[in-house]
Amino acid sequence: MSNSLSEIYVFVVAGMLLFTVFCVFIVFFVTSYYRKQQQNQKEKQRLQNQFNEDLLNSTIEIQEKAFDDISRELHDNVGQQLSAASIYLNLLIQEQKEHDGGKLESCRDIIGSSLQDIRQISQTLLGEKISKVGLVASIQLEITRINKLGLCVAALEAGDLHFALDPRKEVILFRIVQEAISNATKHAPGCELLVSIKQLGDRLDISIRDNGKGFDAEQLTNPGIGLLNMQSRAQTIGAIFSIQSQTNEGTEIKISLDGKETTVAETP
Amino acid sequence: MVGYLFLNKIGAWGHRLVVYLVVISILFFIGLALFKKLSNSSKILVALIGLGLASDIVARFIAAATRYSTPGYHLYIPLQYFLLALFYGIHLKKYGLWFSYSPLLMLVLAILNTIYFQSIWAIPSNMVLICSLSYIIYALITFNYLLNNVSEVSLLKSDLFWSNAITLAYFTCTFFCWSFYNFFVKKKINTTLIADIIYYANHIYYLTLGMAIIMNSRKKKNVK
Repeated sequence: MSNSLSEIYVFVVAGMLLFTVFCVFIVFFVTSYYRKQQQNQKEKQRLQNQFNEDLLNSTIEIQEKAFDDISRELHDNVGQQLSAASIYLNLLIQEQKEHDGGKLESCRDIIGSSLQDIRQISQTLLGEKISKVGLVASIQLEITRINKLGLCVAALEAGDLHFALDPRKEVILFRIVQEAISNATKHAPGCELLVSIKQLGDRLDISIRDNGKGFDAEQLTNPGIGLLNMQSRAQTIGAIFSIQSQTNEGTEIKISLDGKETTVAETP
Repeated sequence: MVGYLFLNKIGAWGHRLVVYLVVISILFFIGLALFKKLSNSSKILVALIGLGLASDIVARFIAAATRYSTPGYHLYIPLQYFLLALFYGIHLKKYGLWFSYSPLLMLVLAILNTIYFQSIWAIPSNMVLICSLSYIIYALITFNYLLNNVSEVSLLKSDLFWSNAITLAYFTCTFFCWSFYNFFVKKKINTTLIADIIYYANHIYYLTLGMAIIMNSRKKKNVK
């Protein structure tokens, strides 16, 4: 066989072209594959977030339903029974005023006070009531209850809010504040507690600060259920949640919410 | 390996052939050692390496007896097709019917080709071209399948990607070389270059299949 250079060149050039096409194809395939892999990961993450959000919303709904049920039960059943007992005691006091009215009066006062407490608890548990009376008034009610129990010395600083909050978000914000107050009374009994609600432009800033024993926030690797609850609740309404604490320097919880996203569309 | 032995001096046991047989034997025995850990598709790849090794050894003996190594390849090509159809049939279940019956079709075509076009003493280049073209198509369909079934595992760790990529590259090379081979023979041009390319392509093909087999043995066993 004789060598024919031109035919061999054609073979070599065609071979190199084919090899180049193959390499380009593989590079294109690998790039497309990785792009698709990234898209899938993003989609998976999005679905996971969506699922978590739905789960969180369901949990909050279930909790709110349980609170509503407890509130109604307290108001309609226990409250009614205590009211009836109070009426009977009044009658008994009138009948037996000459004998031992003093003890019965004390008993009536205790029942009356319990009735008032139950009504207050009932109000703070009922979501509808919170959105009806408003965030600030509900927090004020909670602070009054805490002060009355003597768990903390609590105060509220609140300016005027120039936007109407979405009722659902209002209830969630209240639950966060309620949880923060509850944490303060549990971990720093007898402390001074200040709840501050401010509107800065379009932002609503809520701060719950106590002067209790505090903790090292940087060492907090495994937050408790209460803290996680607050974080996840804030996440569902798109609020920024932060906690600052130092040992022996108290704790401050901040919730910041964009007012634009929070306002309810005005109905004509 | 089809073609390489033919393109060299018939019956010659050159050092390159020895190196090739040693390499392919090592890969085959590695495959056998890992056999129990392998998925069904990788077991087929081991069988494919074994078939390649057997066909080359048998071709040597036939060549020693008849001065022609080609008769073995007339049987090797349909068998190779059968194994590769089985391999792709596992991954491309959508075309299961085709992969079940096409080996039979290829066998019929191989018999017809041997009877009417390329006798047992000639290289079955027609079948090589038809089969190579089929493998190229299967490899492209498999790439499409991979793209539509993206997994979280890195592509470079996927044994299917490597075995499929090398199948595409090797049979494109085979198709290309054999297309030119007939032309070179007609024009009486030296075919050593083609023989060399096929020789090195064979090494790369079997080494990559071996790598894919080892990768598969390290994976958790799954259905495929």
